[in-house]
Amino acid sequence: MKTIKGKLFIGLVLIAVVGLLVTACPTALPANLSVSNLSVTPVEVEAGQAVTITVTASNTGEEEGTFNIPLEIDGDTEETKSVTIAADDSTQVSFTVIRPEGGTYTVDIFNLSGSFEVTGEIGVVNVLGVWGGTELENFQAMIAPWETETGNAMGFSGTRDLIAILTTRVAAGNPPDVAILPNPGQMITLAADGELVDLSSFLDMTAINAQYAQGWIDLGTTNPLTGIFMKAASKGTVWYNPKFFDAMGYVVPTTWDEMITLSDQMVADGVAPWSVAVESGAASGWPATDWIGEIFLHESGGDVYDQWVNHEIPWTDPAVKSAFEKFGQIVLTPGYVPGGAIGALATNFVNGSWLPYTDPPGAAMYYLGSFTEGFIAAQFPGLVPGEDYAFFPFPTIDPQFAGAVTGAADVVVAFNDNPATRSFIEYLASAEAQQIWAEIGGFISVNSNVSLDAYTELAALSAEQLTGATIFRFDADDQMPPAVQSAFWAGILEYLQTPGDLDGILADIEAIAAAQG
Amino acid sequence: MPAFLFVTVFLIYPVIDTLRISFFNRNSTEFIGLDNYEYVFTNSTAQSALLNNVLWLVLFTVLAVGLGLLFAVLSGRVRYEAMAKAAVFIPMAISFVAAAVIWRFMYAYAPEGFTQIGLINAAGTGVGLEPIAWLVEHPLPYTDVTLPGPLHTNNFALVAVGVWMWTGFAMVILSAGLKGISTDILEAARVDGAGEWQIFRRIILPVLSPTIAVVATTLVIQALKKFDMVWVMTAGNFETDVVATLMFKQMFNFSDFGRAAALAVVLLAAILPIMLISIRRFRAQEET
Amino acid sequence: MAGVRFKNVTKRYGKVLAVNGFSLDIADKEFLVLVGPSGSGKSTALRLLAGLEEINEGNIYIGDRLINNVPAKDRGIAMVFQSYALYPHMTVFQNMAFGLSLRKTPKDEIKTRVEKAADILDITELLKRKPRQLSGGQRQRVALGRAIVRKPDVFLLDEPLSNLDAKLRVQTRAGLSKLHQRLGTTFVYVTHDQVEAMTMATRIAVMDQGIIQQVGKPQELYNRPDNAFVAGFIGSPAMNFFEASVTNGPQGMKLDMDTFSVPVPKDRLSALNPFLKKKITFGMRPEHIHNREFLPPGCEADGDCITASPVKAKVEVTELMGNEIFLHLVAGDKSFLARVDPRTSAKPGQDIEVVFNMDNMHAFDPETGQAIHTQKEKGQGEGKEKVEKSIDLPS
Repeated sequence: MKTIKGKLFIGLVLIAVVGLLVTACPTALPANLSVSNLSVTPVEVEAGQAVTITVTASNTGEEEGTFNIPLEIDGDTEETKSVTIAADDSTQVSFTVIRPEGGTYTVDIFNLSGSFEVTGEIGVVNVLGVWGGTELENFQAMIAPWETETGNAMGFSGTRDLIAILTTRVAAGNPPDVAILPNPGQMITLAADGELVDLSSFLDMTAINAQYAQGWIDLGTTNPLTGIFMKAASKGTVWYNPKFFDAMGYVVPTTWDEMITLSDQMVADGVAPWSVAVESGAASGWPATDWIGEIFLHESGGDVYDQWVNHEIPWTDPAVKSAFEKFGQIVLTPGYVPGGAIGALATNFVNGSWLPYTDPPGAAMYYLGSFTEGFIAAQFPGLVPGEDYAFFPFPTIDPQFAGAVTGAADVVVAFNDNPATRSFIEYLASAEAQQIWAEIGGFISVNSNVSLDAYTELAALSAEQLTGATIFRFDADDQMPPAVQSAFWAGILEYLQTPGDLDGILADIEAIAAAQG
Repeated sequence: MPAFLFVTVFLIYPVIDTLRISFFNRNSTEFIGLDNYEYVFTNSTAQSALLNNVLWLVLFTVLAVGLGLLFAVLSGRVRYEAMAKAAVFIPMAISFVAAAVIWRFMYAYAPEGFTQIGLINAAGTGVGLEPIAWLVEHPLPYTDVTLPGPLHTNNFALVAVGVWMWTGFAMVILSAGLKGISTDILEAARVDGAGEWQIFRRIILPVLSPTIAVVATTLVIQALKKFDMVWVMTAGNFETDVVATLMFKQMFNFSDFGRAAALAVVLLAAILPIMLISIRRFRAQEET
Repeated sequence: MAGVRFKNVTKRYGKVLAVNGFSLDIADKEFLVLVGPSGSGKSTALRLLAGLEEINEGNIYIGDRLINNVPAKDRGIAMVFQSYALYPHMTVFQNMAFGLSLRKTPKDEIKTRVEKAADILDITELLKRKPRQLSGGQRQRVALGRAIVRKPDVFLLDEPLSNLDAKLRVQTRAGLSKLHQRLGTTFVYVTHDQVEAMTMATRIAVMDQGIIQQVGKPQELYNRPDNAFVAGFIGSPAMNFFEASVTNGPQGMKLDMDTFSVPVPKDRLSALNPFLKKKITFGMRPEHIHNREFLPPGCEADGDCITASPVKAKVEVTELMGNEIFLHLVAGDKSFLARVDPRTSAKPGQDIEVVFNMDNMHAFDPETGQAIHTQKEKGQGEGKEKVEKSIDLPS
């Protein structure tokens, strides 16, 4: 203590001496600051918008000086700017202020005062989705213009365990503002529980109706409209190796029978015709249910498909059984799939997509949605899309349903109704927003105002397939209640292991579906 | 008093609430009596999960304790005891999820004719055996014999990983117990006329039995609440669900809180007596 | 029922020779005590016999059977461990029955034999207890019982008394001797306590540094130790050793310890003659140094017993034992101990005159430590056998 007091004392003495010396020295008139002309523009803004505050700072002294100019808002120093002004000169000093909350704010710079008024509030929209990595970056690029324009912000939580997290948060009364669900099934459940916001209450429905095909609007409508679709994928794509097909003299099949004939020819040539891979961790089985859905739509058409999806026909219906058996024809015919059913069950769906492109090809064809392009491109960066790898549309089974296609899309739903969320959903639904991601790639919009020119070659083909489909249906299992979807996945796995039990398996799924009421 | 409050809030209340939820429907809006319990004991998936848990309980516990004991006894006789023990114990130090991921690779399968990435299949095909999808298949390996569930190859493969992880634990505890047995007793038994096996069977085993009981109790509880490894390796597919994974699915995939709660209650009911027994045993040991 | 023979048995632990060229014949029904300080190899020798350690060199026979490679369980032995090594999870009955049940002895016979052994050892009421409910003495008896029921050819006992308190130890010593007589079996008993050896053994083998120093009946070892080690180890309190010069004076040959000297008895002259004008180690047991005032009976008038000149010594410490007194004495630079008559009133600091009973002198070669015996003496030693048991030994 003693030493600190001592130092303090010496310091005080020094300051006093220096002060005396400074004041005692005769010198030129020192630099001196005066400020004038405070201006605040605009005086009325919306929350999140910038307000510019400007003053004129003059040096009235005879020496150049550096001055600190503090901006006070409501009595608290907001920002201090340091300016150097030559002797007898002046300069404009301006501050930019953004206020997120509404209200009147008083501005003070060296006793010059003004005020501005902020209306409304900026919002942070909390979004829950499955994206991470590149997909998230692309999504953020899509959102950036909205953030700049509105001054609002997006807070994104990405999780692979979307359903579990969402269920928990909803149950806890703390849902996100917006969730981007991978399928409408969950949306239907949430809507039934009354958790979702009616989007038609604020969206410009004229524009929506003009830009979205009725089918997509119908899919998003749970009475009322609760979901807007984006980032779609075609599931009518059979991936193959065009160069290998050329070399072997294979012709792309257009009908199921042609495809079976081609498969048999490949077996005769010693080539495995099909790669089938359904392993996907907890979601194992979904790639196979995509097969079933696509077969079903091509074989039985849209109306029966809807009845099946909505559980208006039982799972034991011949149409369902036939679709399973057609899929079984691919997987269970000896020689069609490397490793047969076990191979299909044990192979991951991403790894399975690579077989047509190995050297020599491990299999000739692989059925899975348009997003498969990404798996191939990542594994074989040297391959040229369209030349080294491409897809052909899923072949026709019943000619009256030619050109049918199933697909999937992410659906945007809202849990909270507030201005920021409204503005966010409005923006997401717009062609302007979706065009951004479409141009980056890996994104197919179902907004018909998005130009096909925005896409890469293969993506454009998928987009065309989706928009040009004679019959379009959403991926079947994704529309079913989660319990039925899981039973469907488990059922198809069981079918591949014990094909003889098909009737029993379908009866089991039916029991679960019936229990869902 | 604060302790009582703490226990009430964090232990008793959740248990009672889970019990309550288990008598309600999927979103706890309607009382449905014992329907959820009927599901647990009659639904084929739930039954299979229960049976799988029984398999875990028996096979996992017996193998982990048995092998742990074997390693404990044998490692005491080799020169590099510390190293041998470390090798067996290391799996215990790995996170269960990481171990499950490692073993997914070990069990990885590719169809015949393709490069086998999985070590086991690579070795198998190396000696001319066909590759086995260990985590998928039901028939016994390299045969067409399919035993009734849960005696399926994929369940065995999962249990094997559990055993791999927990044998080290059993070994370390049992080894400490073994070290506590005086060599005089063993020599006395030798002079008394016991062979190595009889010494093990009639002296070491009974003297070690309290320790074995402690290890077995721990492993039984592990087996009952097994979740992580099954979830990561098969996600309960191919009839490998156990009660805990099924509970998770009911809760988060199917949003059926009632069934999930009923499964949780069944699990708790299975674990509770084991815990009570071990607590009683512990108390008895404290007293002597 | 069998004897035991060790023939040049050697056991090494790395470079350490635990048992070195050990040869010993143990007759049937003998109570042989292996005694020696800790680390002398006595326990190792027993464990070699038990089959708990492997022999590096040499042979061991039980009866006529070479048992080098016979496993412990087939050697026809039973062993009592220092720690008793009772099986903690078994009752007393089960502990005793264990060996028999391993041999598939019929249940009835096991019961009879265990009950009989329990009766002998007075532990019948303990049969249902577990070892942890027993006292040390009871455990010790159970350990004995476990050995007895086996009816072994040879009993091995490894320091069985060392965990008992002093009083119990004295009782048990007697009990063990009785047991030996009753069973009529060969006993091989290891101890570090020479008192146990002297009181129980029919024969003692003294070991040091892995080598047998001397084998003989207790009294023989006491009277005629073969070397300075045995002389010092057997007998309590231990023998006094002096460095002495053998000189010839006007009164004949004497042992000169600078500050005092003692005459050499006539019967020792020839033996010590070769050491004339040389140094020897002179040994005298404390009980053979008497207070001049209180000579023991038969010693007073008989000139043989008394040295010509009493030795003057200063009392440093006195230890009254009741029936006798230990005096720690100093004569010049020599310290020694005397066991004298309890009537002795000397106090520390006082001088006292003591006499050395030279009839009982011991002489050792200072370089080899070997005893310098006379022929005549040897004969005497053997002749004294009969008296052994009645000798009043220090306890």
